[in-house]
Parts: sequence; structure tokens; C-alpha cells
Amino acid sequence: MKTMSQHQQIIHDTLRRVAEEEGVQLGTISDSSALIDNLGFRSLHIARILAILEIEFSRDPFASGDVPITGLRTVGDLCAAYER
Amino acid sequence: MQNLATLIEGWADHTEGTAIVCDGATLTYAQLHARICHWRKQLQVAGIAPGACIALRGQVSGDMIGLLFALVENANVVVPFLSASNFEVEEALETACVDGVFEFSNDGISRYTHCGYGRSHPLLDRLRSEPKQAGLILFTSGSTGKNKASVHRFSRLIEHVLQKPGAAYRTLIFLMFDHIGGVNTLLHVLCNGGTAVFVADRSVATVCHAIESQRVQLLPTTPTFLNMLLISDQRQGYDLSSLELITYGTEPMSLATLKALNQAMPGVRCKQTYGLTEVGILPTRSEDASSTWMKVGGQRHETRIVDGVLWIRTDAAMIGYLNAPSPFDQDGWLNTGDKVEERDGYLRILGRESEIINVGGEKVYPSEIENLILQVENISDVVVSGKASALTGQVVFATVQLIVPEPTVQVERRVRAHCREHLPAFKVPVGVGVSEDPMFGARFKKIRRPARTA
Repeated sequence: MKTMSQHQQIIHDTLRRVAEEEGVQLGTISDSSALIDNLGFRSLHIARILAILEIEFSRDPFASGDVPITGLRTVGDLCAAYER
Repeated sequence: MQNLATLIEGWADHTEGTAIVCDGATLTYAQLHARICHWRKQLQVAGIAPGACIALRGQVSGDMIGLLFALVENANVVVPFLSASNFEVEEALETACVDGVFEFSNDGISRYTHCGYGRSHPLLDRLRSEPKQAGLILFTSGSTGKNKASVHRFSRLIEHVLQKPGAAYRTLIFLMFDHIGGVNTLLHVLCNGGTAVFVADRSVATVCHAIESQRVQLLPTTPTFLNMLLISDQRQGYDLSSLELITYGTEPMSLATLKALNQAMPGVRCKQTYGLTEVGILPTRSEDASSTWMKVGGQRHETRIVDGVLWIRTDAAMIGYLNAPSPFDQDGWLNTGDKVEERDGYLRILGRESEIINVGGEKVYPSEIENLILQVENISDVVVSGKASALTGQVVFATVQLIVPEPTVQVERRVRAHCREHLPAFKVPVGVGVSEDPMFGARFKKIRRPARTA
């Protein structure tokens, strides 16, 4: 079982990895960073982030309907979804 | 019923109403009429005869829309190539038997080039034999990776719109008119005296800015964009109070997204649309704003359900594909491939019956991606399938078998890099897995196991 800090670390690493691949310039990542408005991710970037996290955590809380996708605004929301 | 000629002539005196807003420039209906008159003469000067296939490329402008209507009047076959993700354009021009291309640059200058692919084709010849019938060729994804060129009777599509007058909305043009939904929107707006507001890109900020600055009333869009709109806080920085109606289509809508949309924009009516490149956009009526159930079809659009799959017959259907067999049966019915549920005359779209992957409304055929991935070093076999995504409906996922062992991260990087080089972004697999299990069934048919149904 991964600890919460491990979860956060994996999520932050995933955000950086996808940003690097897609040429998105990331500033500092914090829980309050908005995925679209602050970090500059677009729909396919977020879809890829969720696909990578599904491999990491063996679940996708958004596709399963446990967490509504429309409630996903910030990095903190993303971390919280996988901590449930 | 009004016809196109009298409608266009009526625009000459319409000096107040704005027809088009594009890149900050506005064009009244009278100015649009003047552009059409200009292009009538230019078509004569260039010697473009009725029946010729003419492509439009480059930056959309009021001038380009003027040319579009002049080409319709001249009974030409229009081939719009407007999306940035147009790969293999030269091959597509040849497939569409294009005689010449009008290219519009960002500074508003247009250039005509004769390209010499014009030729006889049974479908085009049939269209050309019909009096004053303009054509329209739209491209749709093909199962082999080659896009299919569908031939429509453009004049008939316009007639359908003119038959049912509607409200004159200020409307955001979300899909361009190289997509059947974009054609339908543009015709409805201009035939009803509304305003077509074009945007440079489909980001949340650009769309919200256009809604605020142009007081847009109707936003025709996709569930994927609505998800992005709801996830982003940017919409709160804009005045979207002019919005009266949001229509959504091209992919199934989740009830959760629809409910969130209703909560976020309680004064805005939401309506689902349904259409396919092959049969055009059908009349629909949502059960209510918060329901994904809708009535589909009407007087000239028949529907039936066979084994849970929707079939459609309409006289607005395309004539056929230039480069593929006809998908219609002998009675003119099209199997849409869309699984539906029915309740009291209302339908709910469940998703594709076939293996086509729908990424935010864009269709992807697995075999196209598989053929490309097989070119990558150290890959012995591959299966591409759709994977459920809460954001875009589905995403593309590839599972590969290797010739010699290699770390998965490295394989994924190489496969994605190769795909990115050759494919538009929505077709690039979001993930690549390595499997040691056989990927064929007993009959040597590829086993595509979606992670979940969208």
C-alpha cells in the first residue's frame, strides 16, 4: 500500500513527465495549482495523466464514476481522488 | 419555401445585421453579399465551370464564406480542408478529384492554384448530371487508415435547412465546415439571419472570451469541451450570461457532466444533437435539459433499431464514398453502429458497437494505429483498443509484444514518439503496455479488450 506522500510524489512526477513530453511549461506544482488554468494542460494531456495514474495505482476513480470528472480542478483534487 | 438565390439576394439590403465575426473582423449580410458578387466574377475570370471540384484551404474568413456560397451558386463541388490536423493533404486532394484549390493566408490574401486531379468518377458524374446541384466532399476516418471521401448534395443540405426556419442566434462556430456538424451550424446561422462567430482555437479561454465579447447565445459543442469548461475556473472570469442554449453531440454525454453543467449554468437550455457524416445532422428533441434521452428523426429522417443498434434512412444522406463501398443497404438504410436504448420513443446513445474508438468526438480506427506501431523497432505484435476516459469518452491504448525484452517506459516512449510524428494528437496512444499473452483468439482474430466501456 502506497503512503499518501508516495501518492503525491507519483502524481507530481506524472504531471512533470507529461508536461515535458507535451512541451507544457510547468511552474511550481502545489495542491492549489489548477491543472488547466495554472499548469496549462489540455484535454488530451489530462487524459494521458489519468491513464498513467491508472497503471500506477491500478484504478481510475474518474472513469469508474467514484469521483466526478467535473470536480477535478487542482492538483490537490487529483491527489485526493486517489487517496479515497 | 425560400430558395438560396432569393435568400442571398435579400442579404444585399441587410446592412445592419452582422453575418460573420472572424478574427475580430465583422461582416454584415450586405458585405457578405458583396463578397459573393465579387467571387461570382472571379469564378468566371478563372474559368471555373459548374461541376468542378474546388478545395478551400487556409484561414477561415468572411471572404472564404463568400466564396463558399459563390461556389454553391455555380454548382461546384466544394472540398473544405480547414483543420490543422490535415495529414496527407495531397493524397486527399487526389482522392477528392480536386480541380483547383483556393488558399487563404492569414493576411486575408487568397490564391487559386489549378492542381489537376480533376477527373470523372461515377458519383461525381451522377451529381454533375443533376441540374444546378452543388456538391460537398467531407472526409471521415477510414478503417484502413485512409480517410473516406463522402459526397453530399450540398444544395439539398441547404434546402433542408431552408425548409425549417429557426431562431437567429449569435452562434459560436465550434466545429469548422469541413465537419458535417460545422456545415450544419453555419448553414442554420446564415439561413436564419444569425451571426456566425469564429474562434482561432477551441481552448476554454478563447471560447469564453468570444462568448463574452460577441454576446454569443448558442454554443454548439462536445461533451469533452463541456468537461474542460467545467473543470476550468477560467469561465468564472468571463460574463457568459448571453448564453441561452448549449447543444452537444459527436460523442456520448455522461449524466454526471450534464448535471454539473445544469448546476453551473442554470439559465442555459441544453440539447443533445445527433448526426453522422454519412446522413447529416438529424432533428432531435431532448427529453429535458438534464436528460440524455432524446427523440431522433422526423419527417425526412426515418429511424429504426435492429438488435439494439440504430439505423437511419434519409434523403439528406450522402450519395456515397469516392474511395470506399457504399455503407447503405439496398433500401437506403445506414447501420450507424451506435448502440442505443429505447424508452417511450426516446433514445439514449450508449456508444459504438464496432471497434471504432471515439476520442472527444474524433473517430479512430485501431488498425490504422496498429499498422503504424508495427513499423517500430522491437515490436512483434500490437493490439490497439479504446479505453474509458471520464474526460474524452475514450482514449487510445496500445498493448504490444516485444521481440526482445525492453523496459516498458522505454517502449512507450519510442512508440509514442513514432505515432506523434505521423498522427494527429488524438490518435496517439495515451499509454502503451507490454504483454506476453497471445493477442489472437482461436480464429486468429485480434482480441481487443477495452478496459471499460465508455
